Amino acid sequence: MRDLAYFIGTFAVALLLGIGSAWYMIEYGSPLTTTKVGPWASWDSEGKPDADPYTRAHVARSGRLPLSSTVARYFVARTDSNGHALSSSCEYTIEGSPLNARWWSIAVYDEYGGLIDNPTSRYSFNSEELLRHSDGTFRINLASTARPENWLPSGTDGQTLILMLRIYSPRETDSLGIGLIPRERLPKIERKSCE
Amino acid sequence: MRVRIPGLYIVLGLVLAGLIHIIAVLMLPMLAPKNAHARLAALGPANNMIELPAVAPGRQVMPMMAPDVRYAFCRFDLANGPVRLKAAVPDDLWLIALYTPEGDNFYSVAGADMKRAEIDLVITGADQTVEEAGADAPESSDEVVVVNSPVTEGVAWIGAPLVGPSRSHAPSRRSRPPPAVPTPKQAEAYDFLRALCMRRLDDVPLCRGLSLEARRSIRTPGKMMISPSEPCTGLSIRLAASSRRRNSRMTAITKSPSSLLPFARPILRRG
Repeated sequence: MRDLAYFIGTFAVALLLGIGSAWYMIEYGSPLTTTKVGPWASWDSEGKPDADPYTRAHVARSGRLPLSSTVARYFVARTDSNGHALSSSCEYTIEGSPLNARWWSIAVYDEYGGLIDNPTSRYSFNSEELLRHSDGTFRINLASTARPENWLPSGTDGQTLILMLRIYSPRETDSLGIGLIPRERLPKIERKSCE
Repeated sequence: MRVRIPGLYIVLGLVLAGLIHIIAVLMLPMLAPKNAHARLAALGPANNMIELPAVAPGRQVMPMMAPDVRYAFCRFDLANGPVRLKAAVPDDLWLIALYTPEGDNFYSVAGADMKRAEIDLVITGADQTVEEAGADAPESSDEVVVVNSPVTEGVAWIGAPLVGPSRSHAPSRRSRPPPAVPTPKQAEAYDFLRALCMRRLDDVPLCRGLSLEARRSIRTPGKMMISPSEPCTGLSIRLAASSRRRNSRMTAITKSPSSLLPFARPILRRG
């Protein structure tokens, strides 16, 4: 009787551990599969036919159709540069310098990956339209109410935000052909104030 | 004795957890019910080019779609033969990508790398060849890119990143500063109507008595089993087999059954 209890207990714990660890590594990645630079995380082999099982599972679960990482890189940020979760009740500045790629874009989504309704129908800024300073750097103001310069509206519902930086045809690649983005080139996300 | 049992269970638990972990990770791509392919399958039939409307809140087929990229796709099904994708590519930024249902991007090409304003792509299955019926001159087959697909069903995807403002789909009645008005180049980029996706074996003239099996085996001369029940005269079949990616493009032209039967190497020439 005691053995049976032990066995059932072991099985339950194993199930919890196995599924839990799998879920975590698929959802959030691990050093094996993802590159983390400050708040940004990117799956190295996303979309590649020879990707590892974790990356494949991540892509299937996400419901997205990412381009192979040899063609495009996607960086996702759920926090600011200090590690605080992004929220539309706070105001942020996203500062960076031009990326060495054919085209890139920064978009903001709610926690489910949906676009956020706003009066100006502005959901992203891309490399072709962004207002820049004379030295090529840029600043995007992520805020719920109108801001000067590049205003990326974050909605008024106080929801959690996700930023996605997509970079098409990076000009530098590693030995596997995966697009390389220098770490220091990724934008910094600074929290300015909160309601 | 009693003390050893929990230790044993810990080991057993860890081994089991590892096994469950591996099974869960490997099974998930096949079990994910809302993967991209399933979402797109709900939008229309296979082998049809479907243009997606500009992405807007509450109007997204997939999560995290780019609001500043216009999309069109064709869910291809090679069960009845190769599928052809023709699209005018007015911009260097355009990307054409082929996916398996699990989301593996097995082929992609950017507008800038195509060096031409129109892409003509033929997707073939593992054991299929492409008969060029429409094009007459052998040179024109050079314009056709043949991609061997590892899967029978998949998705061909066209993405057109916007050159101008990402809010360009906003109603034009709003008065906007000049950048919000699409430039002619952009307006062209939104126009997917010239993108075609069609099953192509139906419109290929078949030589009577020459079965599909034989046509397929033409590609591997060693396994040929052609036994035409009646002679085919004046037949002209051109093959553009294998993938351009691997630079192993071959073109073969036959004029009569006698030259077809041996399907000899001399008439296979590398192009």
